[in-house]
Order: sequence, then structure tokens, then C-alpha cells
Amino acid sequence: MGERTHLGELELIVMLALLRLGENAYGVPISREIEQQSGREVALGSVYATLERLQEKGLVSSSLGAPTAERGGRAKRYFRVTTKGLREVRETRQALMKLWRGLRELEGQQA
Amino acid sequence: MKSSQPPSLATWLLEHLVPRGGNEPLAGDLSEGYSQGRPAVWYWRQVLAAIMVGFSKELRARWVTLMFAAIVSSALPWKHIWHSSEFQFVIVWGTRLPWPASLFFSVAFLSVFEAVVLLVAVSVYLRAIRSFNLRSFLKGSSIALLVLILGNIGVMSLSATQLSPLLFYYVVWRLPLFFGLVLAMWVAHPSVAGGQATRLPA
Repeated sequence: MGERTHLGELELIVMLALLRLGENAYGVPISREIEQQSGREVALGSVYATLERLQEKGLVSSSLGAPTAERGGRAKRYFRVTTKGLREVRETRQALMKLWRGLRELEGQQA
Repeated sequence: MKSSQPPSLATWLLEHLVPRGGNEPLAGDLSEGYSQGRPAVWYWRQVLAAIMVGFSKELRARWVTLMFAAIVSSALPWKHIWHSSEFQFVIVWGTRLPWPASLFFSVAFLSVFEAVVLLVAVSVYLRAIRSFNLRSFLKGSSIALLVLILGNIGVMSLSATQLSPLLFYYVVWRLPLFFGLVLAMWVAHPSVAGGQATRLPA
């Protein structure tokens, strides 16, 4: 069994945003997706720091695209979840579901 | 009316103050966000957050460097060195020179003394981490020497004030060497950037 890498809250949110965005996952859409889905604004600097940490753990990979004029001639950095990352998200989901199950205080309530 | 270009000072700060390379995509994202209608306040807030995140990450990655610099600079027995007969002989000889030559002499003497300590300490550090590049070492040492000279001018200026000897010998006097060491080690051994991105074919 491979070594587990536990995901922090922001790491998990970023991984889920990457999965939702698919091929178009770079800084601007990632932060917009997080803002739209979770209702919280996360600084792009924090998103990049999280993505670099995830890349160091081997959970995401990145590639540079072509520079565009809209971005002042700067390239986009695209991110995608690796196979190891996908397995990690699944395992985190299962662990959270187990913790969630059977909590009477949270059943039948809308947040 | 909003300018079509993001605030240039904020962009300059982003390009020069965020540690580690590879900030081009982040700068591009901020430009894109600004061109899509985000206000200048948003741009500034993002830049300041990026600088803070970058520095906190760098400090966490370099805690060994900081600890090493703190230990070396605090281990130097400045009070004993200062009061030793050899040191006093040279310093007293220097104070007999006309002003500002006496000040230049004192600053130069202290800086050279600390530079020797610094070079030994940085060499030990680089040897311990098995990372040595002559160009980076010389660049780091030059920057550190400048910090030592400027710091010792400050120390000399403060020595004329009524600071408590405890604060003076144990804190103020050690600051130039501490910052010089941190910068020398920082430049001599640049941190490895986070994840590297591969470039997509055009």
C-alpha cells in the first residue's frame, strides 16, 4: 500500500476545483471556481502556494501554455490532477463520508 | 476612468519582492483578472497577499538558515572581543585619526573582522549542505559585506547614544552579522523553486 498524503482543507478545495475545470485549469478560473462554489475569495498567491505544495507531493502536474497579449505577454500555467492525486481525493472523500455518517445533529438539515 | 494597464508599482513589487522564480503565470493571472474588470484595489490586495505568502513560504523553507545565522551571530563573544587588549589597541589607534577617517577606520575594521567570521560560517554551512557555487558564493559574500558596512555605520552611530550596554552588546552589535549571514547564505544557496512546469508545444 502506498504512502498516504493527507489533504488540508484548501488543498482539497483546490483539487476539487481542478477536477471540475478539467483541461482549462489555470490561476484565474481556479480562483473563480473556488469563489463561485465555496463563496470564499482566496488570494491567487495562496492558490499558487497550495498548487506548488500539491505538485511537490505528486498530486498535481503543471505545464506552461503560450503567452497572450491579454496577460501582458505572460504564459498560463495549467494544472491537472495526477492519478495519485485522484486516488487521494477519493480516499479523503471516503474518510469524510465515514465521519459524516450517523451524525444526528446534521441529518435532515440544510446548512 | 480605469487605466487599461494594472498599477505599475504593484506589478514591480510583484516581480521583485515575491521570492522564488516562476511568478510569471501569477503575474499573468493578475493582469488577466484586471483586464476582465477587477478593480485596482483587488490587484493591489492580490499583490500584497502574494508577497506575504511568498515570504512566509520562504521563511519556513529556510528556518535552518535563520537558526544557523542566529546561533553564529549570538555565539560571538562581542563584549570580550571588544575589551580585549589587541582589539582595544587597534580601535584606540583608529580613534586618534581625524574625523571622518576615524569613523571609516572603525567601520572598516569591524566589517573586516565580521567578514572573516561570516566567510568561515558560510563556508561551513555550504559544506554541510554540500552545495557550493563559486559565483553565488562571491555574489552572496559581496552583498553581505555591503550589509556589514552599512550595519556597522549604524552601530557606530548608535554607540554615541545612551543605549543600555546589555541591549548594545547582545542585540544591536549582532544585527549586521546576522543579516549579513542570512543574505549571504540566501544568495549563495538559492532555494529550489516549488513544482516545475513543463512547457507545452506551441
